[in-house]
Amino acid sequence: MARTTIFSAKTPHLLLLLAVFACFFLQECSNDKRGVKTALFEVSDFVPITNWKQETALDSMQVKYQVKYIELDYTDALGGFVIPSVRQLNNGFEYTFRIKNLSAASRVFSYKIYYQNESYKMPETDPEKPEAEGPWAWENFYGSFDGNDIGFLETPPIPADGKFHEVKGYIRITGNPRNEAKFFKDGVNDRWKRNPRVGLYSFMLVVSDKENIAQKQIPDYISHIALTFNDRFVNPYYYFLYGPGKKLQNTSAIKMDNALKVVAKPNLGGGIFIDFEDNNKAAVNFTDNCGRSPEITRNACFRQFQHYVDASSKFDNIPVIKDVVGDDYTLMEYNWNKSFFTKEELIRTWPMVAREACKTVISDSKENKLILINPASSYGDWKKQNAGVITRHGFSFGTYTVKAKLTRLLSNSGVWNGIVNTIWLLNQSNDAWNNRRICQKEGYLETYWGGPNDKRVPSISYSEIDFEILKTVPYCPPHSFPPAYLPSMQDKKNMLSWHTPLPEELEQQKEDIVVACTNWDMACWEPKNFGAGCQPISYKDQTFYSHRWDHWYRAITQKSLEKDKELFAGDYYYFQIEWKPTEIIWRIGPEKDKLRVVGYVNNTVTSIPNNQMLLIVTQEFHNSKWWVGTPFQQQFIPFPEKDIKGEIFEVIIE
Amino acid sequence: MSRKKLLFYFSLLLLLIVGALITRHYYKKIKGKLTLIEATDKSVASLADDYYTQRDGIIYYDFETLNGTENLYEEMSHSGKYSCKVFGNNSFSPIITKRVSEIGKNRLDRAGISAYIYVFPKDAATLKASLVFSITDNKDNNIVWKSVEIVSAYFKPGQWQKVSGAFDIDTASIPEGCVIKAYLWNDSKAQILIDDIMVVTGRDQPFRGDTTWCDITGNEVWQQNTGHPPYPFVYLNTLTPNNKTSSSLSGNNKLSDEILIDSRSVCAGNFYNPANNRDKVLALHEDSLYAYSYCDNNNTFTCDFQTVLKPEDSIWLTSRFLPARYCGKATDEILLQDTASKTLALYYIGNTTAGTCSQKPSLLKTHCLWKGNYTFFSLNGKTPVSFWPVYLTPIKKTSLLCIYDDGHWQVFEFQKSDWASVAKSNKPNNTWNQSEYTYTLVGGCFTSFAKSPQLLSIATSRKNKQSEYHILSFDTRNNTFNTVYPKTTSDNNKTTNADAFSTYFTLNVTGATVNTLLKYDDSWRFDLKLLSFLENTLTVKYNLDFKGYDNHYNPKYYENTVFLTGAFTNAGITSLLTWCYNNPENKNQSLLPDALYLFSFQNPKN
Repeated sequence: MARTTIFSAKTPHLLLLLAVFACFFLQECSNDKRGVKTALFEVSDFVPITNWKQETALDSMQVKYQVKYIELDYTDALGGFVIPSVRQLNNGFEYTFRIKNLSAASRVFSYKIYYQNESYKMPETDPEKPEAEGPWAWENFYGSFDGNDIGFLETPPIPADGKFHEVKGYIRITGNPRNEAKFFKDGVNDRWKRNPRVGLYSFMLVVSDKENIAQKQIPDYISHIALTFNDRFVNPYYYFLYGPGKKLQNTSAIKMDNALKVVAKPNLGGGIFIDFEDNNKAAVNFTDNCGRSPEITRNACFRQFQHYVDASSKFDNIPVIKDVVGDDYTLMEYNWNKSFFTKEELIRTWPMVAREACKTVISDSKENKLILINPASSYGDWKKQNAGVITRHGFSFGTYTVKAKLTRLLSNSGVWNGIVNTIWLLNQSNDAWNNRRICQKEGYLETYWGGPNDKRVPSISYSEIDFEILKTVPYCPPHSFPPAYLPSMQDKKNMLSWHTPLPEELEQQKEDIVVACTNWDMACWEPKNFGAGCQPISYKDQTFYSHRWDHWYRAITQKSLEKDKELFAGDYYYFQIEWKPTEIIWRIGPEKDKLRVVGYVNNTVTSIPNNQMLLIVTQEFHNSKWWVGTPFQQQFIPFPEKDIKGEIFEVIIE
Repeated sequence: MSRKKLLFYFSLLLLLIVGALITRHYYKKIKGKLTLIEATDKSVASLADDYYTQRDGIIYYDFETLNGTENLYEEMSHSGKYSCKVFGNNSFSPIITKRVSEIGKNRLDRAGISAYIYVFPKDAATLKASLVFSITDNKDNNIVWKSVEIVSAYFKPGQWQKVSGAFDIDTASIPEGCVIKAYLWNDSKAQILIDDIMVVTGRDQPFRGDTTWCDITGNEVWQQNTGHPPYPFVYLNTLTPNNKTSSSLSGNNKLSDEILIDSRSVCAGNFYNPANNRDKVLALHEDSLYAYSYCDNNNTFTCDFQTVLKPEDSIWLTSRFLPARYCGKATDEILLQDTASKTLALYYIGNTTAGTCSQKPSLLKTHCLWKGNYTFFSLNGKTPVSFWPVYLTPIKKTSLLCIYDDGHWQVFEFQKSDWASVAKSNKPNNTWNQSEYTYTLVGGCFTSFAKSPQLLSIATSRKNKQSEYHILSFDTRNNTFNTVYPKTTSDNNKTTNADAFSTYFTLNVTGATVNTLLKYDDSWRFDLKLLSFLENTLTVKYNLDFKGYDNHYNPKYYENTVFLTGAFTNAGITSLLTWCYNNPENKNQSLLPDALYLFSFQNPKN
């Protein structure tokens, strides 16, 4: 009888396959985010949030799943956001996990729950040395419990009965979770100076033998995140998932990714706070929804923005008042007005800031929108006055999406009305607490306004990320800049002397405006591809050209041509700045799910800010000398005959 | 010296000689291929847009006339039939040249250069070229050398792209006798085409004047400095409702449209049908006279009469028209002043009946009442240097004021069939002395207490360029002019921004007791101002602009804007018939078509 055997020549292959499969399976089991086993205990069913029901869909790796979703509570949040607020959940998020005592006797175990913002983090490990902590992992926004830095908690005694026992508690995400001294003022923890970041959060449950804590097997600076090691914070995620903590006996770390999505939706109809004095007359103009009432002072998400205007911004404007867009101001009108006034007839002016509070910014509580108004001029009351709003709560990083209908910029004949539509981020404070990361190579140029001989300093607080949309010309490619403009003469008897056409390529761009995307990096030379001129950078299937005037220029700009009517003649348009730790992406589009990239930079070409910034939306006037090569000079554009209105319908920071 | 050393130096010498020979060979090759083209206006830009050929300071070349050279490329061009090929390493396009003296050194403080470039895909990755703007001296040394770099990193092959750049230039470094050169230099294997090369020179002409009066960057509320800019704007509004140009303003036929809009010798007066108290328009076109009146039915001017001028009436063709009511009858006459032959003739229109809104014009009957020459009006052996039709008395009869070069004057009236002197000066009016002043007069009512017509005299001193005004009224008892203002030598009678070189006219405006006084100056720009007596200074109060014109074609943009005032639509209310046209030789008709408007004016509320 032939011997039946399950073993054949193919058997080793099959066994190998089985072994691989088993390893994989076991690996997955051992990495099961909900459970882990050590010699002393087994942990399972870690749920970081049990008592918050709101969810949202998340697309990740082409798989859709639900995550907990919470919007920041702006009530009384000037002191710092708390997630969840007491109004949202009185005690905070309830977490649970189950633990089984595998030892011989009843035992107390130590545990701690950490959280970390995953959307805007630096890698926990060093890309070049995976066992080492990432050089900027300490900058990540992470914390534990409710910001009081209480170290590890203890479970109640867990009987050695072979059964799982539930442990639960509460956790909140707060600002300045490490209680860093630099964010204190006069003994008070200004948690708002390091607000929680928006985006996705993970939670990490670490369970350990109590002895590990007592004998400091887990260092103090990991148990207590407020402590430092060699004057530096150590990221506990790195420690437990990749570093020494991974090898600790009787210690387990379970990370729940994408456990929570935090979104900020400042209330546009919630009023506008006024913080400036206009000769003590501001109160006269206050309304129910604009001013300094106690309610607005505490809870308004926006305040009226006042630009800083330098004296060098002055220009001598033609004394003409016209509705450029509404009355279809033509090139001929522009050229005539440019040529045929005398100096005595001009009006010395500059981009003005609001003279009266609440007149040029309105928070509409019924339609939940903000309205910006550049006011009309009249004879004797000429003004090119900026209008804008700024948020009052700062964030580090985030994806800022603004839905707005801002003013059109061009007449149908293609002449610019002088307005720059801007959506931008600006550093929340110039104080040292808001300093950027140190620039390793020679430092930053110290001031915004200084020239190339400005002092270099290791760190500064100035940061700015801009959308500026106006009529100008791209700087790149370099062989087409600047355009060769025909000069104009004042010969009435030959109209071609003063009515000079635009260069042909600009005539073809008559309906176009430029979307300029800028990062102010204060000329930090650290990025490996820092350079001047036009430099290409690729993002996915697009190539963008970044322009920097020279090695001492404090900003890098990318420009693209878009249609004025498309962006500003419809009911609204979307503008998005995605500010991440190592890159910035600018997007625009007719709907939020139809955005296209119009600008991209990363830390190889520019220093990405990491401090806290505020969002500003303005309609403002610029001196044309800030935009070299612009076909229409600000001083030759009429003062506005009618109010120029813009509306903001939605701001989401996520 | 050792043998080795000798050999070394010999080899070195040989190398140098060979190198020099090679360099010389290639230099000749390059130089021999350099084609110089002098950019003269017509010869090189035969197919170019007229715009560029008409502008000074522009060099433009489109390679359409570069016949017979091997550089010409027929298969592809950006404009016209040809472009120019610049193939291969160290190759050059033809060099477009122009002498600096033709452009003017003062224009060279800034220059821009542009061209259209096409790069073939083959070897495009090696692309390295320069569009060069240079200025060389008479020894061909580069005094200025600027370039726009074209490299493969930014340039897409296979399509025409515009290349441009602009540069500031230190003109102090440019000696006499220099030449501007523009060309493309290819420093790579890439194959390049170039077309439509252009150089523009100069900056925008700066604003005239010294400094701004108005500064609103401080905290104080701005207050107008009386009589100084910036002035507020008031507007002349069209009376023509359809916002069309002459085709709706002249109603009866196309021929009339063209005639009225093209007429350059025109005048207004109540020449016929006096009962409607409206002014008509008399227009001279070629050798014919046409008479128009305003038709309320269709808001147009209709041609009522026309005639071909007879030889005995040829004075119409060479004269300035001075319409007025010389005879004191119901209609106005026309005094023709021919300054070349120093003759005058007085005509009237003999037509008595014509409805307005005529479908077809009838024969215009002109009759000559008087003809003579300047000597008829002599005083003390001098003939007048200027003639002014003026109302001097409340009686509706125009006198003729004759002024002589020394400031003396004489007033004539037309009585029955001849001119009679009714008043003359005992002593000259100093501000009418031609050697001392330039002056101009305008009749009207300038003070609210005027009992009789007044004469405003504005004079500008030839010495110090200061201007002053006098308001005069005629004393019929003493047959002399009284000065209404200034009364004493200490009275301020200065003018600001109002001199004798401008044209002045008055408007009768609804509800006004004094005439509205306008000043028109088109010496360097269209400038229409409303004047007023502010603290007794005659000065500008408002700018005037227009509303209701067609298609953004503001009358002030035209090379010529001519006004004819008259009560065309309402008795006693002045409107302005306005001709707008460009000089035919400038070929700008497509930019601004000729237009004819009728504007009205309302006094602004003070």
